[in-house]
Amino acid sequence: MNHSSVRPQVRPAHVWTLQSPTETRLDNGARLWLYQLPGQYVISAQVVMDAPLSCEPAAVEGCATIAVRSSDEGSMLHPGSRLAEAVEDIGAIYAGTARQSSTVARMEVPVSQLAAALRLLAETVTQPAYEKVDVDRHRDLRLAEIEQTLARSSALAQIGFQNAVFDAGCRVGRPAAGRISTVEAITRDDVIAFHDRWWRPDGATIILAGELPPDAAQLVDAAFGSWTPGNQRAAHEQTLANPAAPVVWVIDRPGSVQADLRIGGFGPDRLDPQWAALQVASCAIGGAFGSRLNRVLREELGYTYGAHAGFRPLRSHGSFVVQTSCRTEVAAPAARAAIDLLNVTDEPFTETEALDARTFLLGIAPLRFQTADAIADEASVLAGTGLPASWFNDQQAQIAAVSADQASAAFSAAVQPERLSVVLCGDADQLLTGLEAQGLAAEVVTIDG
Amino acid sequence: MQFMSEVTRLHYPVDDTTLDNGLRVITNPDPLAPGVAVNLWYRVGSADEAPGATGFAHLFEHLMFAGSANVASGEHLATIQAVGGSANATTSFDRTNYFETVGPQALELALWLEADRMGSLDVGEQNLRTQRDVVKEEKRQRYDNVPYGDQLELLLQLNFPGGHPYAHPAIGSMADLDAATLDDVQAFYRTWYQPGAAVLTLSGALSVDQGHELAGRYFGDLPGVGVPANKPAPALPPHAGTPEVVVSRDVPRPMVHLCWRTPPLTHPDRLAVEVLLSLISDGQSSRLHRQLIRENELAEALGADDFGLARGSSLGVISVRAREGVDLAQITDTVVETLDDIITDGPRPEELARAKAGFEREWLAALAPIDERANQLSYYATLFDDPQRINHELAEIEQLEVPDIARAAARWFNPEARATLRYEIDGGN
Repeated sequence: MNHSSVRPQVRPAHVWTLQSPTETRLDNGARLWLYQLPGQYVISAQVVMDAPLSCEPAAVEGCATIAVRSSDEGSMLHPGSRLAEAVEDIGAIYAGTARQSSTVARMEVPVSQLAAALRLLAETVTQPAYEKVDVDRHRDLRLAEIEQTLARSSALAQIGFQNAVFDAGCRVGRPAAGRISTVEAITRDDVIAFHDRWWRPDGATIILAGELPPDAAQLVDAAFGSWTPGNQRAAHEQTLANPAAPVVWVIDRPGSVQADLRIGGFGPDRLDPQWAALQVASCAIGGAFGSRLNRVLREELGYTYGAHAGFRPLRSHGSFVVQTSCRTEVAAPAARAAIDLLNVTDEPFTETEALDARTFLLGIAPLRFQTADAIADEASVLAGTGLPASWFNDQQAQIAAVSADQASAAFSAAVQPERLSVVLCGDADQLLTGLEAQGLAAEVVTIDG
Repeated sequence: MQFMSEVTRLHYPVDDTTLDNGLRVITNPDPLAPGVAVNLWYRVGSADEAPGATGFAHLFEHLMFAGSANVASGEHLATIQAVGGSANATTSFDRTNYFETVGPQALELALWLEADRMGSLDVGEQNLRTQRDVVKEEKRQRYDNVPYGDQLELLLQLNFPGGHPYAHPAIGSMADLDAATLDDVQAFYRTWYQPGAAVLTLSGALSVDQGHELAGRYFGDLPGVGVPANKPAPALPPHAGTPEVVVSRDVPRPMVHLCWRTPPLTHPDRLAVEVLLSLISDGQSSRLHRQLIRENELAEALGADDFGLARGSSLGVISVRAREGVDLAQITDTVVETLDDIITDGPRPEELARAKAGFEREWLAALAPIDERANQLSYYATLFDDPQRINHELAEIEQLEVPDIARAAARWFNPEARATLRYEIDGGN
């Protein structure tokens, strides 16, 4: 027999675990997680600060973002562009993000320049100059960014979805990097005040991943040891659902040749006892190419280039979202088909679906975590949401034990298809009638920048 | 300062062999890797499409997932994910690539799946119709429904004459796709999807012997069939008379693309061109970032890239989006002055050193994951006929000196030899 007609059998994979970091603490309170990864010659160094966006003053939301974006525009020791030059001279790159529950400042650098990179990272984090001209420029660039965002259909749908699912009184219900009215109000003093109060070692985690030198911990201590605690900790806001949900909204974007769809609702966070079962379920629903949504909407109906779904956890609660985009004329039937596909009560997961989802989630992990930056990024998310470094492996062990029945039960409890909000961005004139015919009478809403 | 310390330690073992049927097999053992990357390049891309059949190479890439003798439509991707791996494919001007990254236990499955669709294709009318619809949605999502979404198409039209292999984007024309028949699909498949037009790279947790044995076992029985040469393209002369295309679009800000015809991939000046573009545009200390974004506040965003085309000529583009109320002419003047300065004086030594240091980090980071490393090896084997380049290209960059960059700028980025694409705001304000 020709060997090529015989499909090779696949043995079960070995159980794989994410390497645990060496955990210590600096005298100023900052935690240090060191991931020793032989063969990884670019080190990822991240400083995760306990600075949730809910700590921004309401009138100047976006100042956490401006604080991180302006932080490498000059320091006390390296004024102006000398800081960027010093960073780039050693082949390093600096970036940062103000996320919902933490601000992260990060540097990537070849191993041989680690000591110098840590000094520069510490300088950027602890002594940014925040010259007025730089803060003002980043404020203006953020305003320009808002305009670019409002021109993109997928971004509008995402903002609309956030508004649909979360209580407008919650920070999570508003854009992370601020709105036009709040960004316009940001001054140098606001940025300095936010930095001074929240960029502190208390509650912070410093993460290094890569082929670390033996004295890595001492290098961190030398660079960050003099960083002084703020002695006040952030209060993390409880996320609340939009009391008016579910809603069906169309964000009008005349002339669009596609509609961007978001279907979903308020969801659990990683501490939910059903989290592992929900991971298996959401993989089977919309986490892989062969999952229900993509199989039907793309491969059977040709409605879309891709359809995905998943739970998006925050530190407290989160959301479940289906996302896709499709030509205007099939947007309404696509929305209806997606909602019907979420009905796991009537169509529970099969053992094969659950097995495939478990195998995917367990098997993809070692491939996903091949590199220093991927491991540092995962650690950074865990640190920023208040979880221990061991969380990931605990989670994988739980995923391995999820049955089809457990996945179905957890999903049916968390996602009730007829209780989900539907948000579309597209040409409203062409969408409304079709939506109504699918039982999705929609309200046309506007997204303000 | 010495930046080569990690790189001198880095030497990837690269085994290069060719099966009797013409399939080139590159094996890169890496005992630290968690799995194996399987990466297959076919030397056919959008540049090989016939007039009236644009977009075909890419549509065909979709159809390669739509069934073969022993694999049902959609099963390839679903199967790889169901064993804990990932898979996908991409189409570009000069090649189409297919790849899987899997744990060692699923390596043979991945090879079997690739061999099955190298040996046979089983696509029916319904699959063709569905994937044509999917590709149309891809075009709407990636190009038609986004601001500045037609810039790739406009850039290619501006820089390559009509009918040139690079004059159209890989997504192609939807009218051409509508005209495609199943006979066209089979003919394209038989012409190009042959072992002799392919490079198979295996990177990761396997030995060279295993690489040879498995490639032979799964692909060795496929017949060797002659494959035509790629559609050639002449080296194009520099632009004359600074051609300019201006479009009005519903976009938030005006944008300008300044374009030059650059050397093809295998030309000795290519690395100098890459370093030149990097030192003027990458990072906050780059010349254009400082002048356009930081100091004069003329621009929101900028970038400079070469398309990396293999045949005759490539295309280098400097793209800048204006700040509100800024005239694009001011931006163009700044770019031109920057290039004139580099042509006259070269970059400062510290600028060149900085660009090289950045290249080293990017290089080390890019080659760390086995999937990207396997792709890079397929690239060197397919387009340079030299997979060992992975071990010496960075050293070539390290050897570039200030006059090399100045010479490359003078030869390839003469401001008088530019073409310009401008986006103005529709109904301008």
